[in-house]
Amino acid sequence: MYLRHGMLGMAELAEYARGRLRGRDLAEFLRQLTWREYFLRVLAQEGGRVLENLEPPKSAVRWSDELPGDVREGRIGLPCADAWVRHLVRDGWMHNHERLWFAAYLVHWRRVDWRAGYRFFREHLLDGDLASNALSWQWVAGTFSAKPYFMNQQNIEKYSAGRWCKGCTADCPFMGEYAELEHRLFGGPLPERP
Amino acid sequence: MNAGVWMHGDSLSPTDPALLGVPEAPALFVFDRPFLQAVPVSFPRLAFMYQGVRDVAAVRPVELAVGDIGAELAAFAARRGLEELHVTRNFTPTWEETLDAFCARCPQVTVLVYEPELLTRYPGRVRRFFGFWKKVEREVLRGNALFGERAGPLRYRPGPPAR
Repeated sequence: MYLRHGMLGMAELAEYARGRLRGRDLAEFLRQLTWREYFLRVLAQEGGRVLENLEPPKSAVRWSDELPGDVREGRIGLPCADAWVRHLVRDGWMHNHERLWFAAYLVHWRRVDWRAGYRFFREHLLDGDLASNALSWQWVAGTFSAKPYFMNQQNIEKYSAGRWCKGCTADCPFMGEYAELEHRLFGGPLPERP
Repeated sequence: MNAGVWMHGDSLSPTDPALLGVPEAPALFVFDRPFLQAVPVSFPRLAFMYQGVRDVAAVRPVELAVGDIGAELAAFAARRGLEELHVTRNFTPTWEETLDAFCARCPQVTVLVYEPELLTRYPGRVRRFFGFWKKVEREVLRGNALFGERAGPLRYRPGPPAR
């Protein structure tokens, strides 16, 4: 959020990292930071078009326009997804993995247009940003990527250290292998990446 | 030259290039009322931005306004007798519209635009991140862009009037 509002500069942060990190840690940090510049450059190229699908969706699934009430209120009934909404609304901040998981849940499982999610993020995130947010939502939705992004329960459990999965009794919609979920969510295999 | 700075939502730091360009000049930050009336933005987010404005105001003169940005900039220019308005480039599409509106109101004021700090000097178009990363990886990892000469501000040329 400090980057978003210019309180920290990208070059300033990169220079700081170069003085503190080494090897793969430094390379990965700088690669992640470069995503922000990439999104800014796409915004400079495309202008207001970043709020339209930049590419056709990669499946024939239809999306609804409105954010469902249970999602807005964090009453989904899934401990993980409700925690993601709580972090967004209460703290104005979500971990990057949570942003991706929430976006995938909303677009692919709930079949809501990515723009409804983008507006929800813009309202609450302290670092809400046209370039990074709109284009990340499009990346998840598959309108600015070769393939939509989605995850499964194993991925959530692994990268959250089992925070929500241990002891969870909900009927988990994320359970399954990727091929199985791909069929369930998109009606068949997605196009291969070029 | 009597100069002022437009601080926008991407430039809330005393080290913003436009603020550094004219260190003694007063700055203006405007909460965009028409935008905020049309788009819900949570109070904590507005408070966070306000804190950023206060941090800059702790080290130099800053005015804060709520209203239409173009109109508030014009009023700021009149109040301060500005001959130059300095601003750091913002990639949001409405940024140019705002400057065009200001230039239409205050054609006597020269607008000078500073480039924001970026990691690379890559001049081409971008498509997928992976391709972009392959082109800029070496420059980003080495940090060459950090040590080059910073270009001076460029004079802003307003676009054609909207029909």
